Amino acid sequence: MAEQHSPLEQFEIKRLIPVEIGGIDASFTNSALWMVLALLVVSLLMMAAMRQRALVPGRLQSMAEMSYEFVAGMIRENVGDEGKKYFPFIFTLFMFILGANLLGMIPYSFTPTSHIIVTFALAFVVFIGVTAIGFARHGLHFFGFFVPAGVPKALLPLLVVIEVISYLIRPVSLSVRLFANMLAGHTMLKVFAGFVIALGVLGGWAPLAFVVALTGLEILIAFLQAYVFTILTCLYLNDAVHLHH
Amino acid sequence: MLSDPTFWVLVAFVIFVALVWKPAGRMIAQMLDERAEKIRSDLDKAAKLREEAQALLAEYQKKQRDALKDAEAIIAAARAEAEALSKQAAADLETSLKRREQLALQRIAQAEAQALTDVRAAAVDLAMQATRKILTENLDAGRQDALIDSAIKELPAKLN
Repeated sequence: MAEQHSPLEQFEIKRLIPVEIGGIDASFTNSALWMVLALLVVSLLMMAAMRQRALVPGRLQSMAEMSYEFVAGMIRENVGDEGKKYFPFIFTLFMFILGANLLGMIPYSFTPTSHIIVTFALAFVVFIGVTAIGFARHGLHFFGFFVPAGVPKALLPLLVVIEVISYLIRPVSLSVRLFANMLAGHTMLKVFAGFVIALGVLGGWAPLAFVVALTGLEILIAFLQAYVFTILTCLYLNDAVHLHH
Repeated sequence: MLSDPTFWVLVAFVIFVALVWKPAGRMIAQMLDERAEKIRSDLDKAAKLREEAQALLAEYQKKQRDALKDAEAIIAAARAEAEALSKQAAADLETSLKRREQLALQRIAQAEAQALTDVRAAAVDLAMQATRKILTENLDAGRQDALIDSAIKELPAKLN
């Protein structure tokens, strides 16, 4: 019990390869490392799965195909046929978040999605991209999106302001949802693991069992949050493509 | 190490994986295998359907060819029949024409014969009138009567 452990120390950013470009700290950190790892694992898994390109898929290929069909179905249901061309981005987003979430579940690893800067960067890319698509498709008509139909004229100014704010808040809510879930889950794991230590050999079994259950729950949440992030991206994309609520 | 919470997370993680690995692995493997099986059966079904469709197509093509052949045969038969009919009709016409010609010729011959007998009768009448006139003018009454009587008696024998 010489060292004190905080449940939050797992989120500490460490510079692995210090890099400084023009006074800006661009070090290769543990967060960057695990993002790269997520990218590599997903890419290699996909490539290995599709190497055979069998007509009747093997187990690994079936898994790759199912993830593909899952995302494709999500886009088809929420965006329609116009969403097809955005499939590569949506699929990459889903697989990257899922990969980062799941790799973060491995003890002693690092979860990049538990940092708001990472999830906000992802959400902001989605926000900028979706807004750009909206303007590209509809030009200035895209502003009509902020004017709800069938509303008394007196209420319109207020509602337009609310619509604009709710639109601008999207990247924040999108990023906070993922980040908070990851942060809370991993913190909870470490807190209850701390109880194991505190209660010792006699009483530690109960929190340990709880941590086991929590591990299962966190793996579920890793999938769920990747799904939620992706489906919200689809919904935002649908708004930009079809311009209605 | 034992005082590191992450170590206990690792322990929990290992326990979780040990608990879940077998049933979850079996379930996932079964699901993936079922999916592969479904794809295989779908492919087989599709191949079978394709084969059936090809067989059907071949059958209909054969039927079409047969129908074409039948149509050709019908046309040829009809043509042959028409030719035979027209030949028959031509032959019938010729025979009927020949018969009519013959009939006409017979009638002509009859008419000729009739005309000849008419002419001959007329000539006899004329000759008899002329003879009567000459005899009545040139002969006396007695002789005249005797001559007339004999002439009349002789006349039918001479004429026929």
